[in-house]
Amino acid sequence: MFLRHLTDNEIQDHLDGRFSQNGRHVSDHIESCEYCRAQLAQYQTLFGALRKEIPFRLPASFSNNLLAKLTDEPKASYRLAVWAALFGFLSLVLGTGITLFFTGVKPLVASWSLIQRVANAINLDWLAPIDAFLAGLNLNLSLLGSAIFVVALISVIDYLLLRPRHKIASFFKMMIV
Amino acid sequence: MRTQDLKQIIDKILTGDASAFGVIIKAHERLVRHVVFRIVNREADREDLCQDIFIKVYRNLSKFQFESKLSTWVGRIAYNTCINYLKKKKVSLYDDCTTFDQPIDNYLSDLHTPEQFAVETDLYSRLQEEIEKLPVQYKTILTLYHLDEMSYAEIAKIMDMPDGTVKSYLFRARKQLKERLTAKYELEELCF
Repeated sequence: MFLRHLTDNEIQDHLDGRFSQNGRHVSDHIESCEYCRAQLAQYQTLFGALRKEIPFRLPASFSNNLLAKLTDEPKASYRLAVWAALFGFLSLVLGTGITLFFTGVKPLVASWSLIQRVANAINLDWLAPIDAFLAGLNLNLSLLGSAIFVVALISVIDYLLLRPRHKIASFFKMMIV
Repeated sequence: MRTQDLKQIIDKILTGDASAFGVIIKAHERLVRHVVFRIVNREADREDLCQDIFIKVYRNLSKFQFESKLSTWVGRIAYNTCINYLKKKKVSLYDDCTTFDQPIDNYLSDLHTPEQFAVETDLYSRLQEEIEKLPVQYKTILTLYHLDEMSYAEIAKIMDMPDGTVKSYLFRARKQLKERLTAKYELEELCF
């Protein structure tokens, strides 16, 4: 049996039911020591109070409201995807238009000739129909390709670095609402 | 809830049956409520925070790998969401809980007058007041341990701290509460 008063930790351990190897000595000491019994009683009272339920309830409709919100979420994300595709397409057209406006089509011709030469060098026969089709259109798609590349690059950088996903989602949701 | 049942429910939710999420809400509403109540003082924000927590749980359910109990995982989301809320509101978190251990003598100088004490008849409310004054970590541990009956290991996972720290904070929090309440009131008054 202990010849000293129990420490707070020993009393708390005792009440938590975590008996150390001195568990029996703790029980014996409490029985014989009025001071430690009083300490134990105070802790017992405190533990009882800490187990009382808190005065905060959620409304009965909480679960249903939340589920309704979550059920609507896929529709919102579908609408978000449509808006994103539309904006993507518009930015592609706009980017290409601006590029063509400032550079003209001559660099496109030169670039396409380069692609053709590379294709011929590595014997890519499957490019021939595309070449014929593009020749028929009388367009130079190298610049278009450059524009697509630039827009795609900007999109990737935007997605990876600049655009926190939740913010853009909130922005689109705000637009939809 | 058995792991097999839980897996079935999560599979249902992940395949688009949002209504199955009701089971998860029902099973963890109490835990989320406790964490939010204990950390967030502003009543008006509590319900919204509970909703945010469950939305996060729903959106991240595919990342739950059954490495811990779902309640531990939900508790962690709840705790982190509340801590982020406090950071946004620039509320001090008392990260260094040791600095909070001020002597009772100093503390008593801030007490109300005896007349004011006489008005305070509800001892449970007094305990709540004292808990409110504790650092966030102490309050959360007290709640998770006593109300949600979680083990040190589970609390440690939720709060991302060693088991030993959880135990040490729990013991210190209870000791402080006991000392403050007994310093203010007669022992026989402390019958909750």
